[in-house]
Amino acid sequence: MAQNRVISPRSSGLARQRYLTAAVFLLPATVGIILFSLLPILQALRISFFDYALLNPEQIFLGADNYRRAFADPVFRIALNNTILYSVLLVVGQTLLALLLALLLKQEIRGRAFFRSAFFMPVVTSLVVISTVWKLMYNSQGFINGVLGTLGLGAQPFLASSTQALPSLVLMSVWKEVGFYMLIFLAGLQAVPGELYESAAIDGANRWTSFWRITLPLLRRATVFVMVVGTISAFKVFTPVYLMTDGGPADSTMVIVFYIFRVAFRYFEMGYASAMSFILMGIVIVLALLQFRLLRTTVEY
Amino acid sequence: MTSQRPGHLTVGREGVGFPSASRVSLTSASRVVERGAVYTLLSLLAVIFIVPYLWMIFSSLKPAVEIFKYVYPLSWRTFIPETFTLGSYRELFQLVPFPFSRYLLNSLFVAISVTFFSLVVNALAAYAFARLPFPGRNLLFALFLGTMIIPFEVLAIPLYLQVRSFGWVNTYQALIIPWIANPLGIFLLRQFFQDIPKELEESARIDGCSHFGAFRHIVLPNSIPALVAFALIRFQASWDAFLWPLIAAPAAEKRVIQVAIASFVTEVQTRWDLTFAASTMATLPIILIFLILQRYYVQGVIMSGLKG
Repeated sequence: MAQNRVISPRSSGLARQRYLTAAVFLLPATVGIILFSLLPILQALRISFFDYALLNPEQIFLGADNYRRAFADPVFRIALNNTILYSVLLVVGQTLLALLLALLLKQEIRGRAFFRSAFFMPVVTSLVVISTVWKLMYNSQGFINGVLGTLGLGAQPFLASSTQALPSLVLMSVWKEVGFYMLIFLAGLQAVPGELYESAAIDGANRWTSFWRITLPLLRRATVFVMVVGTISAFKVFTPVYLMTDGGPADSTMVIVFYIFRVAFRYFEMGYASAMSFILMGIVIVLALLQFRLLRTTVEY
Repeated sequence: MTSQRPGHLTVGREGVGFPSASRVSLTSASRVVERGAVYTLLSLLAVIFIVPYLWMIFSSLKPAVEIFKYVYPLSWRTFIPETFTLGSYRELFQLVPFPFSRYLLNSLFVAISVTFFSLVVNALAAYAFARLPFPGRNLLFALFLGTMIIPFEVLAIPLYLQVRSFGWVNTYQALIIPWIANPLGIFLLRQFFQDIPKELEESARIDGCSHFGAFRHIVLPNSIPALVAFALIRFQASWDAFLWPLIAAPAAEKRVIQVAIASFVTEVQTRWDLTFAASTMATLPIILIFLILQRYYVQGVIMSGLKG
């Protein structure tokens, strides 16, 4: 970061003028970040130690009770388990499919731009719209059961079943997110020099060998990125649950953010909800650190 | 084409290119078979990605009774309306207490405001971080970047309390002002500004240009791709935002389009015909923008992938 070093100013007047300009340029952004990120996070930390009911002005200090309560709360535990299950299924599904799509689109084929746009469209469609449309597709008389029926397969309950609801949400999310990760893999594949494949072919390697020996190792950074970013974003799932299942049936799609939202804005227990938010944030930070760690230790080519 | 290391997602000036074809040669017969397999697979997948859109758009042009009538068995009537009608759209624009256009305009106003102020505020800050050395600059920059790790879901509650204490619940301010300063934008624009040759600004400064003048006349015009990409990310994020407007501005008069659609779905008696028409209206403008500005958009999404 040599550019960032403070260069000794030619004269103190010029430097003072530069500091002043910098201060003016930075003022709006700094005020925004202090008011809407730093202060709220400190406030959240504070109220996570209080019994803070929105409708009751009296705040009672509880120490770590809200945190203890979270770990003893059976619904929080269910939400945590569901969130982990959802994240694992989603990340595995979308990473494999994104890799497949990127490998297919890496080839020089006609209509490549069309296919790329088609797979990418859900990324630029709002999650509210996608959840709404998929809710209807999963309906007992919905589109997917129409397809299954036409193929001679039995109708499925999907969102109405406590065993199928969570996998149904995962399937929809793979469809929504995979185009984004496909682009990351495509950018990664672009960096693989063609000469590597040529010399491998000369050495008699078949395409399968080239894939395992050349493509995959060179995609390691992209893969780590895709998996960790995917996991962090999966952990924060809210909208599909809110619109499609309301956490049910029988808590089978109750996830952390949805539970926090319910405790905060239906039961108005802000203190307890904040404590659970910090547990979520702890998980997200651990995952982010893991990402930096893995990215740094990965061999560069 | 910009060469990129996987995972190392810097913003290239020419946008993100795509890898060239694999050059492994095959005999022509097996190549034809392989081509056929690849096309079949891609077409099948493309159908799965496109069909939900077709179902949404065509259903919005049907009377309510027809929507689920022809789902099974599949036929052309599953999609193509038997009775073509714009009735759902007409009804949306006559809804009480507010016509759907109100929610559309709310969203448009909020998204445009967030995008505009975001560009100005974050570009100014990025310029200071890129070009105006001052003591403590790296520390401040690190602090800004550090706030990126806080998930919005964690900020939602205290931010709501804060906005409430300002008396901003159910106002446009609540939907716009908290989303202007954006550390990701500062980070990305700073990277881009640093790549602009310093000599350009220095000669302008010698000619008597102020820092602001150099920023406006040299740096900004040379950063159009990054500014467009960032603007697209902000616009889309604002247009798609749901959890925050649901908390901060649920009242009908300030409702944004996503909250309005959600309120159709969660109401006791859901009007699916209206829901499809509203979903179509919320989706098509964004897809259109995406198709027109695809090059920047793709770049923008890869940039935003850094937000983790």
